Amino acid sequence: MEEPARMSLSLSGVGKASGGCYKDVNIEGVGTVEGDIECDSCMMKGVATIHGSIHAKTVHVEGKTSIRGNLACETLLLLGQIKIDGKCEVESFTGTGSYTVTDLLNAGEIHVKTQGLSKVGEIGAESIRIEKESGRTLFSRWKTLYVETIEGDDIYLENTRASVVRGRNVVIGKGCDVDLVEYETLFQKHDGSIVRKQSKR
Amino acid sequence: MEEDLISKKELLDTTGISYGQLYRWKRKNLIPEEWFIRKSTFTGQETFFPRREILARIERIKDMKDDLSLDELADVFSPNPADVHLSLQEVSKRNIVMESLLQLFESQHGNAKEIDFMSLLAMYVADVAVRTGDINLVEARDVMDAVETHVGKFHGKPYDLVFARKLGVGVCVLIDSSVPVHFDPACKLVARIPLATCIEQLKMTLP
Repeated sequence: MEEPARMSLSLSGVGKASGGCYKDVNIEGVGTVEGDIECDSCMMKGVATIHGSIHAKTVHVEGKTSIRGNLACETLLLLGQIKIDGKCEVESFTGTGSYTVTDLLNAGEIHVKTQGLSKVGEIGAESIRIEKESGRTLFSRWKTLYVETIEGDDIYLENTRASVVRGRNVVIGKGCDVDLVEYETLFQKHDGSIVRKQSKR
Repeated sequence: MEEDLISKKELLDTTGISYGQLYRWKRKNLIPEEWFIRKSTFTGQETFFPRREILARIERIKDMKDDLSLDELADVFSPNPADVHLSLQEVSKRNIVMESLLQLFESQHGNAKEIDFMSLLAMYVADVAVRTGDINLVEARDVMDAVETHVGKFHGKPYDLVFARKLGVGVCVLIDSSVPVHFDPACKLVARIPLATCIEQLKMTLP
């Protein structure tokens, strides 16, 4: 059976659409999607609410996006705020902003600058680099990531509050508060940061 | 049934893989979500795995990852059927199932030119059960029928074939792998075969 050609979804202004299989999804303005989305590229600018999961190749968030389900994609670029109520599986997660993932954030590479309050249940990745957004902004008071556990191979953290960090190479940068670090090869800590306990595996 | 579990830390120590690899394989669906068992311990939440399954799976991945890409590997491990059609001669030449089961299949389906994955799986499961001596050839027919009729409805979920016998009469049931089955005392559980394992093994024998 041949798959019918996929259509693209484009929402501008205030709009609502149903989920489904699309080629590209483009939301500008205030958009709501009811249901799961499967598409190649998903571009969300403005305020987007997805009542379902997203499965895409590339996801680009500018503005504020909330996903009431899971997100699975190859690349996720964040400029703004994203909230995912389920788990997030991406190959590469880059950008600047505030990010909330209730469940597991599983990624190949994470390279983000935290801006605003961010919360993640659990992070598992090959390489993790979480930096503090430099420069002064309106919300500069809250540039902290709160996370339960972080597990990865190469980890660099700034402004992160975590219970447990486990990895091969763990570098704790400025402004961190970690209860327990378990490392294999390398452990470094910035003087101003707090690590209550560390152990070598 | 208390399962034998292995903690994540112990798993990484014994297999020598890293956190990154484990998460990558999970992302690529090489390790099923159901195997990640979260439990509270005195150090907080910890993740455990079914020991036998995960160790076997990781050995397999390590063996095969040089020859196959991760996506191809995911196909091998996924419980979804492969897209294959083989002729009866090919099946017999490849020696996938014993000859007598093939004849049984032929007698039921007439002279079907091609065998698809579902039918092949049905025969393979029956073959596994017959080879262990748990069931006989007549019962194998019921097993084949059951698997062939119902396997399409599983939608990628792991199922087991359960074969029980009471007063000499055999009954076969297909049931979700995570669900325990209890019989009355006169009834004897003869075999419980996980279909996911069969699918994986069968895919390995196919081109």
